[in-house]
Amino acid sequence: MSEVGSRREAQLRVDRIRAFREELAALEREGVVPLSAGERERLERHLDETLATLGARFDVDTTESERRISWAMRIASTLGALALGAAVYLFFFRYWGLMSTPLQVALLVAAPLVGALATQAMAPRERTPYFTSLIALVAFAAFVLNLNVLGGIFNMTPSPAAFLAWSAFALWLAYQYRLRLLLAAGLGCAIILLAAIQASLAGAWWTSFIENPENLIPAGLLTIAAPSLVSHRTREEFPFVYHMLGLLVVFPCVLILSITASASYLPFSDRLVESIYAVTGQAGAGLVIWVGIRGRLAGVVNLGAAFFLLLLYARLFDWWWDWMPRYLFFLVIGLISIALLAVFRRIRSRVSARTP
Amino acid sequence: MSWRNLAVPAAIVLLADAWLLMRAAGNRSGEPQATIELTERELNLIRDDQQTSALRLRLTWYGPRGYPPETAADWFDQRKLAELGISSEQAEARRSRPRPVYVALEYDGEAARQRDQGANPLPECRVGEWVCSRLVAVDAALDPAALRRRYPDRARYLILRAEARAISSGGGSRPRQVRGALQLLIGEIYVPRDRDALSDLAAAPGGPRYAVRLSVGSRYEPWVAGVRRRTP
Repeated sequence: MSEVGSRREAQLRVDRIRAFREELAALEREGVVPLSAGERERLERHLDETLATLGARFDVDTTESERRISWAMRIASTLGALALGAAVYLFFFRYWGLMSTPLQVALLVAAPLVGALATQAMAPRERTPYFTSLIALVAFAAFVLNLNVLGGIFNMTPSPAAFLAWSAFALWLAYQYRLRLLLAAGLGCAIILLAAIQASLAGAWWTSFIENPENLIPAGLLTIAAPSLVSHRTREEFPFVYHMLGLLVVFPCVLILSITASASYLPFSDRLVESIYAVTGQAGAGLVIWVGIRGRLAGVVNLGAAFFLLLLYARLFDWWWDWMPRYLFFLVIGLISIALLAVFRRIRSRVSARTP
Repeated sequence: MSWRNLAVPAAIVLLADAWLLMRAAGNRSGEPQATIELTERELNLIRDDQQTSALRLRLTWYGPRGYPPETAADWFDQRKLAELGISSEQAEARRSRPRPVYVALEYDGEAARQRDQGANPLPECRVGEWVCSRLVAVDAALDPAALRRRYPDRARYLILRAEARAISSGGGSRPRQVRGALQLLIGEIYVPRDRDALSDLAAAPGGPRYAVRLSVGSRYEPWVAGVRRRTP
């Protein structure tokens, strides 16, 4: 078991053992691998011991039922964290007007510190960080509340620097306790910060970054590239979050710009900018599918394929919707979908042939 | 429990709060750049939010011809937009982005009188009505010091931060018009003290029922310096 170094590797090993047991049972039924009672017992004992060791060391799901319950726990932990974060936020808003300013400041500063302390206290008590994630997200919500409300109390002009602080806080907790939800929150804040800086450099007021999707694209691309620049050997579940979040920022921005480019920085006509983004988006989605297939990144491939189709259909709508009869438009869309199915099937069979 | 693990998030929180509190203290230190006593006309109590116990006042202001603040005032033309770094080409191509600027607001001055005595005064600004704000935007600039030199009366002119953008209207058969629009960056002001007094005053009949001394600091951020009952 020396080759198993992380929870992800342990889970893969457990999945392989379960598949192996099912296949072995089928082969025995078909009479292909007749095992003696002794061999069978030794094998079963070894597999049971391996599962028990992995389960004890990494808290992995050793059965399908456990896997389903784990998913339910993850969902409950996320929803619970969001609800508790909202409760903290709204509780303070409900009563802050009744407090003196020094008491408000003291409570606002103390809340995220207590949250960080509680996270630190909970982390060693569980191998899979369900409660740690929940408490850390509440601590993050308390810090967001802290800077927001302090800014409100002193009628301060909003500053993008708050996103730097929120991002640093969330990323620290994420890396310290292996929390993917906090990683997504921290990266989201960093993306907003970079987009705000870009908008400011263009001479606009920073909060208007949202008016032009081009402000978000460089930050999104940087998020996608970050795992290639920084090694995540001890946090091997994190690159997936980087890739998915980055793609979920870049693809919608490109999609919007391919439909309406009125806010673009590019010094060309709207029509030309929309065409540039349509072509670039299509090529980018194709590239993402290719990289996803090569790297065996299932989520990335699905996302790439979804946006490839969305961009294609948006373009077809733009070209044909106004002048083509509706029945013909939907017929063409249907035929293109069938053609794409055939293309994807060919790619699938080629990939299957190459994969041992 | 490793205390070193806690040191980093604690340092982030404390540094961010210290930076924020120092900014707030810096704004309020020294002589305020303006202190004006406004009334309920200009600072309406926000009552629509049942989820918060905090008291906030909404700063109500107008352009010189009685336009709502969101639309253009007549001095805010293409020349002024160019002065603020907003090109009319951008606006005509509908690619204008909001720019951070400073706006001068005149209280109870010539601009408000011109508006109220014009041919078509706003319904709320007719003689005998009290709800019409007498705070009117009269100018905007990138440099607040230049704006203060132009409007040196600190008891009559507030200078606040705003975002300016160009609005393009018309097109097709109608001639395209480009005008400026302003929006204050801080449009609501928190009332930290005198909240009970303000609540009581706002509950009385008639109006304007209260006066608020509003100060603006070195960072052009306002605060409530005092509240008093207003005698008609």
